[in-house]
Amino acid sequence: MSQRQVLQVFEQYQRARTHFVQAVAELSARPQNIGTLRDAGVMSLLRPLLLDVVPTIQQTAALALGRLANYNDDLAEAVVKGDILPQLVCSLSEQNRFYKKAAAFVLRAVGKHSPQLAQAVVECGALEALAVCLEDFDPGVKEAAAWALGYIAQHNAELSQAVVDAGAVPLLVLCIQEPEIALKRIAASTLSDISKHSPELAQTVVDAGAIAFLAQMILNPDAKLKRQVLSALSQIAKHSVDLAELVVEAEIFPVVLTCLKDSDEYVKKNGATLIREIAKHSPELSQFIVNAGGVAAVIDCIGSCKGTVRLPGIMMLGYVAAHSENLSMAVIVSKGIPPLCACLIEEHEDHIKAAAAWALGQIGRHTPEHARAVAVTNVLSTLLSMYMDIRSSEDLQLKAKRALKNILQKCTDLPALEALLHDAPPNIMKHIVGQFSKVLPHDSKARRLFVITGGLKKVQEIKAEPGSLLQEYINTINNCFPEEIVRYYSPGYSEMLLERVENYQPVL
Amino acid sequence: MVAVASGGRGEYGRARPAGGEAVAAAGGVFPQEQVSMLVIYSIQDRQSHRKKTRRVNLLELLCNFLMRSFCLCFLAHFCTCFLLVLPNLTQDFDRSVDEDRKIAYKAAVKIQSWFRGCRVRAYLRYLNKMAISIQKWWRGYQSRRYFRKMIKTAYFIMKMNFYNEMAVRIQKRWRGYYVRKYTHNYYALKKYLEAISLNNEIVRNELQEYTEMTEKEKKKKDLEKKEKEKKYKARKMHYLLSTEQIAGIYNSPFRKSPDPMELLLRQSKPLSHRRQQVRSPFTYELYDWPTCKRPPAFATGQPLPPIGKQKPQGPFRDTAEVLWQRYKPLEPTLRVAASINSPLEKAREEMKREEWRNCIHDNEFLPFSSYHKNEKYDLSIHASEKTGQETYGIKHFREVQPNKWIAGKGPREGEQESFLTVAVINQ
Repeated sequence: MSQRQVLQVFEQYQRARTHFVQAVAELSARPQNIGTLRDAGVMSLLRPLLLDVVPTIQQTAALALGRLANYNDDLAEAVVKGDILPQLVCSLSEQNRFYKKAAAFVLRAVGKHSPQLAQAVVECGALEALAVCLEDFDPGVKEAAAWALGYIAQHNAELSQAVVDAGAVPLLVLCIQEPEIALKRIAASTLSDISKHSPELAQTVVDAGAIAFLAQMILNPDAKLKRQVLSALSQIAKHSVDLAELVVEAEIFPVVLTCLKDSDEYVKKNGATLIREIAKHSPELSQFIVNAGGVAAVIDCIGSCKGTVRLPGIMMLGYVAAHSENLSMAVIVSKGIPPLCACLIEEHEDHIKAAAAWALGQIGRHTPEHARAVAVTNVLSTLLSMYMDIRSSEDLQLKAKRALKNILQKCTDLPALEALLHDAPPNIMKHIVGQFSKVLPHDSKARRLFVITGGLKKVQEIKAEPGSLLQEYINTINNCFPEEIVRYYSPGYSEMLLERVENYQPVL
Repeated sequence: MVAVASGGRGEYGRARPAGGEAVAAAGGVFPQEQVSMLVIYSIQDRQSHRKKTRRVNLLELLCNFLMRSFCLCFLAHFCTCFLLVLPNLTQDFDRSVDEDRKIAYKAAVKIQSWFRGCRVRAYLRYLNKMAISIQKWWRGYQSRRYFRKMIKTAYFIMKMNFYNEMAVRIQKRWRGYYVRKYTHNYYALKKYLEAISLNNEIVRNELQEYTEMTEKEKKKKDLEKKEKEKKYKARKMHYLLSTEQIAGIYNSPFRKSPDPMELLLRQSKPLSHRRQQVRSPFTYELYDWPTCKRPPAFATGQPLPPIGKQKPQGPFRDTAEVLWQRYKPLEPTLRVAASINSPLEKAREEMKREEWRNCIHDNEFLPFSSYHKNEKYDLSIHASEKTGQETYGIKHFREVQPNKWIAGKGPREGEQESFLTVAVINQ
């Protein structure tokens, strides 16, 4: 009898513990409860439950801790300070798969907030244990371990190097080949986080043979997986020409172009980012992309998206056009300018407008043909207004000014130049007048038009310092016309005439 | 004319105290100028080269000067001699002879020295002339050589300029051709840009086709899903089918034809009850075999009736008794009955039983709330069982009778649910 009573007490206690831990886990799933839980001192209560006899209680306690740490970095710091991590790391190697998943979840939740916390996780020796978990049979365990490694590696290059030194990269490449989609996603995302920091890390990932598998997975229909795969490839390709060439050799073109037509916005964005990172390195790579029809696909992509999703596409066009004039002409021929002008006008964000202005400048700066192609769309006045607008950010103003300057220095299209003549500031006026002074001496019809449209009048009204470049240009222009016309249009001519009338002695 | 000059030399060479010569010589001063001029012009006639005129002029001057000075000197000297000689004819003969001797000696010395001087000068002049002649010829030779060399170089330079010009023409043509054909080939660029536009069109078309295809597939999938849902609903709500007497809600009598849902209901098979999975009987047997909890089935059974044997003779025991004794089940000792690992097994069993006992229910705790999404709702006690007196505890005790269920739902399959990975949940 008494033995049963004693045992009953223990049973009650166990039931109470189980109930408590399950309730805490449920409550910590909702963010509004977490403040209350923390104030109630849940951390100190959960800690001994991690060492409980019953495995279910251990797992549930770990799960609750993970959820708490996930929410807030104060709680994560409390986890670190409470010396919970070494215990978790030890048991990571021994316990069953549910506990491993929960422990990996805690490590991930702690490591994601800041580099210092991630460093604390690394110092507990978590990386080796997580790398061992990557070899486990259960895909859930692998996924949790890969996720934790990814969050640790995303902060900076040293942490990434620590992850690589723990031997995680070949195991991650093996994980990518697994059939479970979630595991593939997480492994791709971790590889992307590792390789984004430096070329050496990217080279390590490439040496493990990741590119071939990542390239195969571009064809997978799952949208989130495609996002991560494209992001990983673009992080690898961005560092140097050799890495970009390796990525291209994996035969991603023209398959990548189908990603630009995906229904998911971020797949489009990451696809455009990948193409941009490849195109920016060298003219040969840009040429290759143009030959594969990449420019057309990107232009369509820009036309169909709105917002930040467009930005990588715009930059890609700018990079391609910047390399050489043939490539710039290829961009023009692929009807690249109208979407860029539309971007410039429609977008609200200044950085996207600045990128569009820069891209237009790169397209138009090579030869008069290119400048005419840009000027015909009347985008120069938009650029000028953006430069003059005080509400534009400094970056936008600078880029608009540079683009305007570059295009104007090659522009011989007089109607477009005249449109700008009327409200340009002096530093832009210099270029416009310079272009006029180059074209007018040789073309009589243009001179006639110049007079008719009031350009000569405007030029006379410009006040320039004598001896400056602007004055020289004005003189050149004035020398193209007969004296009478120049005097006629010079300001104050009517007053001068009237004065002459006053001083005239009539001949009787 | 040469005789005059040489005569002049000879004339000067000889020491003649006679005065007549001196007069003649002195008287010849003026005409001597003319003579010297004639000499000069004769020299000029002989040599046509212009350059000699300067030297000739100098020579002329020198000759003139010398001759004049010499003549003057000589004249002066001779005059003094004459003057000295003339008055001393009658006076002290001895003194005058000694003085005359001295004077004559001095005069002789002067004449000789002058003559030697003249000779040396003549020789020097001669040497000078020879030297000039040699130098003249040598310089002429050198200049001609130099001139020839200059001509050669000038010719060479002219040729080279010509070649260079021709080479420039060739290179100009070649470079223009090469650049226009290969580097900045206008037509190739035009073709290339046209090809790019064409390629872009193709790519755009293909991508368009691809998008359309994916959209179609997505639509198809959505449609199929909807169909499946509809069919499942029809199977679930099969009781809404209309009967002969009562028209169902989808088969209103005011309609011309039944609703499509009605037709679907007619076609669908009602959902069957879910049966509890029957454990295979073999599991128990195999479990109990080594522990010998159940007797082996084949040994006991109905004993076959004897085949009409004679009762055996002798005081034998009852056959049934004997048979019973013979086929008595084995009553093994504890040592034999318990398995080798029995204490450990017992303890483990104990533990397992304890755990099972302590858990409130057998459903494993699923960590993520997404696992609970597909849970079946358990009807409450009031809804799931019939009204009236509980048969539990009276009619039956702790048994499951599926044919008494109304709703046709089984117990929660706690054991059968495996721990679902994130993958399955997210799909």
